[in-house]
Amino acid sequence: MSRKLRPYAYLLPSFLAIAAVILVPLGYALFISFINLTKNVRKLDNPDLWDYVGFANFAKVLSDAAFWQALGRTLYFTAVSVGLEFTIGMLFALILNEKFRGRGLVRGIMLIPWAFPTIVNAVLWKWLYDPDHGTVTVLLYKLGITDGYFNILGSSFSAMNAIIIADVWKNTAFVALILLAAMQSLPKEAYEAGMMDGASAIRRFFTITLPLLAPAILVALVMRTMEAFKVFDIIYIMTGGGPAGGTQVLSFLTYQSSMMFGNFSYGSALAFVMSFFILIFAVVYIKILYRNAE
Amino acid sequence: MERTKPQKILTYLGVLGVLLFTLGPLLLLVVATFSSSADLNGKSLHLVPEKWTLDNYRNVFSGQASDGSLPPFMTAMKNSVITALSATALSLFVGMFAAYAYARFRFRGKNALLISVLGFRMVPEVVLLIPLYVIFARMGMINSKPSLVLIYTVFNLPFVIWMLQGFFRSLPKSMEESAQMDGVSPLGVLFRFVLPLSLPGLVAAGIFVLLLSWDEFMFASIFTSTYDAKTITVAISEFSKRGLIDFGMQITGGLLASLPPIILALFLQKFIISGLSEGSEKG
Repeated sequence: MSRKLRPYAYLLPSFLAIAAVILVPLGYALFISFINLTKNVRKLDNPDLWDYVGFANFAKVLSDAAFWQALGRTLYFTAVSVGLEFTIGMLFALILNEKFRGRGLVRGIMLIPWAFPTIVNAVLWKWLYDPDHGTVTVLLYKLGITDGYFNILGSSFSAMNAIIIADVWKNTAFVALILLAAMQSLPKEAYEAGMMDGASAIRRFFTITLPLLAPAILVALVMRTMEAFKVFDIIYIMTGGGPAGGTQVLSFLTYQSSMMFGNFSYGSALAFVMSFFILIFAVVYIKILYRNAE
Repeated sequence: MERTKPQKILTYLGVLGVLLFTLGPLLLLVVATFSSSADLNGKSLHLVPEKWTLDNYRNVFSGQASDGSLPPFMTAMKNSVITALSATALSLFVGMFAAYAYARFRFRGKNALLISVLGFRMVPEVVLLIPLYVIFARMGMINSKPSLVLIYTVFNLPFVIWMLQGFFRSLPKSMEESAQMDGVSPLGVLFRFVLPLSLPGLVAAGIFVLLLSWDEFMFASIFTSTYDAKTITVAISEFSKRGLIDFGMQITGGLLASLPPIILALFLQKFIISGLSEGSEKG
């Protein structure tokens, strides 16, 4: 094999696989979003039945109140869950960055929720929130916070926040681990110089540690934001988008309109609109990676 | 650094907080799996069961699948093991060639191709759900393990390539160069000299593919309809649809299904941390 062709030969299997399972389907999804396709996929065999509608499906998405509501819920879920995961994750990283006996063990334990399958996490919290027997439900009542047994997943606002808590429990470790790894690679001099000045610990954190951690913080935030924006599994199990659509986020709306109601074309258009937002995060992420490398 | 007593106390209080946050829900889960359904349906905080029982475990391991072979739980676990392991092996094998090309060869269009790999990693899965379903349905490839393996392999490929190329880059070039001078073929260099040194990188990338494949639910739920292919996440989600009484079974099955990824994560902790920080470096 010639020297010039060898790199391309090494890349070929990967790019063929990616073309077949990602690129071609992406193009196909675009095509589907321009026609009028329902669950009856046989329609695709006959071009006369394609019923080309141009951007009608996209227009329908953008004029659909359900879409804007789902977008609002998705943004709320993303902002609150990522915000909490970052705050708690930073605290955890700071604690685990201190020297204490059994640090390795505690770090291992902290990792467990992250390794927990999302579906199991959802099942666990759904049970904790059970309106008749859930530990959280009973606890809220016994503490006098609620009158009687309150159905946490039965009203939109509490359901959304309850799901966020479940998500935070699982994903905080991810943020903590990235921040901890970054803290441990920080130059010691940075801290020590601050100590000589007699700077208080809190000031030292905001003026020295935080700026040095900025690249790692950005990576953790962007990666979590992209994941949170796509949230699906935990909603599917815990509320199925309910009550009355109160926890219906974009991924779930896409799933529901295509896989449950069989409107493939509308679902595809919706998925593309959703990807537009992900694209923004992706561009930010790639830019950070390249800036970190310089 | 000298530490004062209050500082030490603060640290230990913090550690206590971390442990409570993490272990609280976990302990409730473990206790619940050993509780009877009467206990679970009671109005207590479920901190300690009135009577410890193995009923839930017995229920999970009994029952027959539609084809009468193994209990659904065991069949789904088996499907998950086969699917996740195959996807991991395949994506590592295919991805390592591309990663090596990026790490060691100079060629036209390299930067653009490398950025495109990162781009593929960002494509939201839900966009691919509909076209892949339509394509696979028309080809009669729904409800088969190989279809899921193919999807998981390719979805994880960009990440594998990205991580391995970073790892290959960190290896010293000298050995490869001298092997080349001795007339070892390029493939020989890769297999006999680079790969043996790359075990930590392969393990780190492999864990992530394993964990993600084990965790995947959206595609598994759409692309499987019987226990020929149903994975464990799908099986657990269905325990719930039968009604309230199955909560015990669901959480018990869930706990058992969590053990493989948790054990893997605990034993291979240092690889996970290197994998996570790889995501924050350009390589």
